[in-house]
Amino acid sequence: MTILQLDDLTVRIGAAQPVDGVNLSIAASEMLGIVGESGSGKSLTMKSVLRLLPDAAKVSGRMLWQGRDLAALSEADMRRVRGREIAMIFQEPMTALNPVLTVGLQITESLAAHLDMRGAAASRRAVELLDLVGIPDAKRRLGSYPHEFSGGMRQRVMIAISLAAGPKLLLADEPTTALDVTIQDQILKLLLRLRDELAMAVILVTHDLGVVAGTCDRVAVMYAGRIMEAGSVEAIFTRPSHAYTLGLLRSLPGSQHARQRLDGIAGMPPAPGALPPGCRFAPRCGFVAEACQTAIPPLVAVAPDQQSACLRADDVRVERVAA
Amino acid sequence: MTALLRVDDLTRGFPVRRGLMDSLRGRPVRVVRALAGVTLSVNRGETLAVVGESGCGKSTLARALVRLIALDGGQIDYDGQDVRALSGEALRRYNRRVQMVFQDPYGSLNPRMTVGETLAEALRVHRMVPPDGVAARVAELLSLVRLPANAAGRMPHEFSGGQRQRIAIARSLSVEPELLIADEIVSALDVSVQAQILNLLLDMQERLGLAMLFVSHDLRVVRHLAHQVAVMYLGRVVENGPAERVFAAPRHPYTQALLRAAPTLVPGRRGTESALRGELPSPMQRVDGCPFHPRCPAAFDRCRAEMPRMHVANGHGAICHLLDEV
Repeated sequence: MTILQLDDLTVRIGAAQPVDGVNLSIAASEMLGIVGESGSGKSLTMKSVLRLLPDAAKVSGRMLWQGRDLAALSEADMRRVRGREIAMIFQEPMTALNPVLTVGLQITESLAAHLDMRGAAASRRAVELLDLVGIPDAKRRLGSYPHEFSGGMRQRVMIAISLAAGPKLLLADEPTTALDVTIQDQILKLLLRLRDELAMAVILVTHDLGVVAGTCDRVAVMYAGRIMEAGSVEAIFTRPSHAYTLGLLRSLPGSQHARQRLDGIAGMPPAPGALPPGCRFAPRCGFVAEACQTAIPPLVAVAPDQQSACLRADDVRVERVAA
Repeated sequence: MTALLRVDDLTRGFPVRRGLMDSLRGRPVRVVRALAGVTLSVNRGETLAVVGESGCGKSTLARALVRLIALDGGQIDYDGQDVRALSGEALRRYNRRVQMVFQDPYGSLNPRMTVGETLAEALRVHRMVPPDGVAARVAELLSLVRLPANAAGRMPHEFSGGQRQRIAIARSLSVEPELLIADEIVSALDVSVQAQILNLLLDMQERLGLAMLFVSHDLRVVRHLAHQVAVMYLGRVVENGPAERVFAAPRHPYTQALLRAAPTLVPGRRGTESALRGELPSPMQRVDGCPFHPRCPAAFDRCRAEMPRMHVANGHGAICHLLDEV
């Protein structure tokens, strides 16, 4: 069952269009990855769902959340969705947490704001939440300040706060990017466990294809504000159907033999104010055809569990990723 | 294969600033042991990758090798010279032969100098070419790192992160070094740009016979580039050896956990069991016995009491008590 559906979501900032006609849906309890390089619009897409963008950013399109269009909600109604139904965590837990308040206070604050839960009941719930995210000695740690936690533990605290109101969807924006690999592994496994235990959907925004492969059910690949390809993780990693996805996978060390040249992508992504007229990837694409340079290819099904916005999808699909 | 650089038992501690109350109470100054006896070597024309998580001492090691950080003890031997004893002209020569490239290409280029000036400065300081040959050499360096010739007249801020890293690499190559010390130089880059820089490094190594000490936390990158690997944990090398062997058959439980934790491109659900429990202990805390034992899934009594020794077989070494058994 689809809980969130984005229809033609577009963000304009001045002349630039950093998010450009995004169509995307996520089902209940699903783990969806959004992967892309810097400037691809993945974080902006998440922020526009929660309407966290500044006024200068003009958002259009529909964002259907359990049947209601978030774009059309009043600010008061939106506030009831934000944090309570859809929560968000960020890359840098140190800047997202308040450094002068104890962790306990920050969780109980959230419980009071969303659930009107206070006093002993809130404290009990706060301990439960810290316990749930795997913070040892939870009761004692309620009195600790963010700086007394390591980076991994801070991200756990952040997750505990985001879970306070029992959201049905968690937006996780590069939650493990600042962490060491063994700690990243712990946090990803925590997200998987929470998804199972709480039947909560998660959108995991990341630049790391490896994180997606091991964690997500489905994935959407973004480039220059658009979704290039979407589908099951299985399909996209074994049979990428967009020239950009293929290029990304081939850019990764490990796709070729050790010390062999990586068959990556030439050039650089376009500036958001100077997009090419057709497919955004055409100027860097090794598969480019004339039609790619005139109109933007639509996202169409190429397999039962895979959609691609590549006119050369058939030719890309027969390519092998690894040497 | 002969070793170009050999370091033996390097140590370096950093005193931790005491609070006022601590100094009034006369508490001793605590010391973080960033390097607790590092031994390794880099062969001519080869890449040694130093891997480890934050706080393992890998960046301190890199900086100590180019003498940006003084050492408390140990020996650095570069091509037969005692590096820690170098001074004057000999030190300048060492500084030319061993070049460093940093993670942040925004911080390591002078924002007020054009790219051409930056490259020319390095050429002049080390008198690499006669004054009338500088411009031609700058153009040559730019084409070597595949930047357009007109880049020389532009300022660093006009370039993207990947291009700036190319400029930093061009500057380090301008003085024809034999050893490049690279500290997380592709970590801040997007994968498509990262691939371009990795290709460039492989290309440079092949064409110039460059040796590299490549510091990284990214095991995928390391596996791709390295001939030899040294895995660091809390200021020590816990495992080292030829890259193929370390990756195919890691001998230290920490290396095994790192490899399990590293994301792979194979789609499929992970188990819910983490590769490694716990977190890095505070480096100020003294751990008796093996420094890894508080997190080690295989720790036994001896690990808590006694520091394990290095076991080497076929050039592949690890410090772990488990290897005594076999």
